Amino acid sequence: MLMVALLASLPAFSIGAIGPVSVDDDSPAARMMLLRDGESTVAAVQLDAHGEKVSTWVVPIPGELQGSPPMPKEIDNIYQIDAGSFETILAASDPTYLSNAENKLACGCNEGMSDTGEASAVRFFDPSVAFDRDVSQFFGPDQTVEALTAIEAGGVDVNDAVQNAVSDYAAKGWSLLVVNTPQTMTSDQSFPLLAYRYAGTDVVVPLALSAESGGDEMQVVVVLVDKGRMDPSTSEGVEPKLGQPMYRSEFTRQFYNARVRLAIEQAGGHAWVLEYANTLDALQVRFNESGGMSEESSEEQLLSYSNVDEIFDALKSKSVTSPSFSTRGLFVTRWRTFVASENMQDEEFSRSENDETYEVTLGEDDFRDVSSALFITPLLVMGWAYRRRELLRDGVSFRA
Amino acid sequence: MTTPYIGNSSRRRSPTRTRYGLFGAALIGVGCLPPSLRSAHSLDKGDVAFETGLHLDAAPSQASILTVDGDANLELQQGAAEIGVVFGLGKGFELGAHGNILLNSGAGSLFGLSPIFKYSFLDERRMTTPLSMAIGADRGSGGILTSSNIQIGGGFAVRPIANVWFGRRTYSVGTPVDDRFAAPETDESTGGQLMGAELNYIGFDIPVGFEFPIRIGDDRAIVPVVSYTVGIPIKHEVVSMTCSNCLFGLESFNPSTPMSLFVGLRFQPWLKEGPQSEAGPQGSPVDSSPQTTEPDSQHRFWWRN
Repeated sequence: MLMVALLASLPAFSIGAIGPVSVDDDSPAARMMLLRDGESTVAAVQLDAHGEKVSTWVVPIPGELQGSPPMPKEIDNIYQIDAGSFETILAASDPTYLSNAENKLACGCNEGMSDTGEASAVRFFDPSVAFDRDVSQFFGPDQTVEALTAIEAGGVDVNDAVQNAVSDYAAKGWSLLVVNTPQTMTSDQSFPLLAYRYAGTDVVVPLALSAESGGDEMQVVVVLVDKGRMDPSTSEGVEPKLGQPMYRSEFTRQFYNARVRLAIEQAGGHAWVLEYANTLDALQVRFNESGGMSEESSEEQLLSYSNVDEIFDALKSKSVTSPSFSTRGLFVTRWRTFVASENMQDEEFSRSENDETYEVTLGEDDFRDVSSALFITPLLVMGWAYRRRELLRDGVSFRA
Repeated sequence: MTTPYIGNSSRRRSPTRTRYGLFGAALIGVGCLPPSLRSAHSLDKGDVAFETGLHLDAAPSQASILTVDGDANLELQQGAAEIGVVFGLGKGFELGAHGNILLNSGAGSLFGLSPIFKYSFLDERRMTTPLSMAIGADRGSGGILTSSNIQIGGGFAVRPIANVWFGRRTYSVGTPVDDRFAAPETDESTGGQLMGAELNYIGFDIPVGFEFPIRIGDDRAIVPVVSYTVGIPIKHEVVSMTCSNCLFGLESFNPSTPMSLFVGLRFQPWLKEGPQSEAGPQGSPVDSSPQTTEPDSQHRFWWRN
């Protein structure tokens, strides 16, 4: 059944509430980058609602918005950046499939390297919908009632759970960004990639609001950028067992995503899967060695990017990052999860105790398990036999 | 008898060189199955024996697989059917060939053909000796063969046999793959799911078993044979793993030490005391006593005319 489900539709995930969502819609997917920038945090977030007639997206923000220079209205501290810049860093950090065809291992296919992210529904969001400040709204922690009204007006079912979630955010000093689009989106359209900087160093992926209005299941990929590796604080971090590919490369994505799901299920349904942990420089090398994005996963608007730090350039050009921000010595950690609505809760990430690197490469191992011993042994046996024969011939009679 | 030779036909070799050349060629060759159990006595010149049998894997290799919905284990086995023919060349020499078809090959070739060579340097048919000993070459292995013929009545015998072979072979093991581990059908799909591994093996094979000759008519015997082969690997490595139409990852693969059961049926001349003129190579003692029709108290065995 799982295989059938995988073939029929790819699961997804979202951040915050979206509305309205039909039960027949595909699950939403969200992607988020969280970047420690001194005493503040920069976030870039995008949602693919996978829903018909969706027009509202609610993004909880865990701190006072900052801008450089400060804008007169908070909504003006929200920037839209080119989704392709995010796409590049995702493409570089995607799990890779490395063919071992030259060793006649695996499936005998010939591909050198390809990514596994395309079918995971966290890649290639449609960039056509623009961020419209005139119809979107920002609500501070003291504007709970107004926020709930705006959310309900956007089609989200504001039940007790949603009210409680919003109240909890307000109690913690969080703000809410309600993104609206002038027209309802179609299922193949995505909300724009939005970037903002907020005060504080809490690196949080807000999911609690999605529990009631995000669909049955969601998928999130989060790229964390700091001076070291970042791990989830409350949920378990897992690494799926993948093994040596025994399938054609066309099934790599399906297999990988199924193993990701399985790893999460085996961890109790509430876990994040590690997909990359290494320095930004190492990520660039990996991207260069892969030849950029593979042809099969290309989308025209994304091909112009050649460096994984394009997103930082995009953030800098919009003055989202602070003037002192530098990409030197940055460490990139990428986590992904599928989560059912009952398990959705905010996930905070913190610095790992160590900066252990990690990459997902399918097909890396081989099974040339060689056991060696003394090759002289058979020669000795043959020599003994020959000498025995000579002795028999020269002096030993077989007759009684 | 035409002296056999190999290589360029314009360059004739001496019988001695040819003898060792044949042995060397067989030894250097690479087989795909362990050598079959083989008795140490030799056929008379001009005699022919036919054989057929099945190799059954007694120690399947274990593969741990990672599927889309869990983990599982597969057992990869080697199975083969073989058919062969052996000719007696006289003076203790035999030459033959046998072919095999792999029953569940998931990797490598499906068919194999290899020569059989044997030289009995100690032959109970021609010498007064408790057992026969020979050297042989079969499927890329060279070995020492021992056997003894125990006659029981006039039409039945038991022949305990032990061989020690050393050689190398590339062999394959395989298993059908259950539908739940199969990839969805696409244009590139081929029929059926089969997982296989190809392995290189260098080491000893020690088949131990019995032949049970049953006399048919005056000169022929039908010989059921059963043996168990124990492998002692010197080098054992996985060359390749393949899987057609599969959808799983391989977590680990542990090739087991080759152990196999062989059951077969051979059609041989009824064992009789060989021609004395053919006895032994290069001055080996010759039994000049006439052939007997009764049990010979001087001999351990019963011969017939």
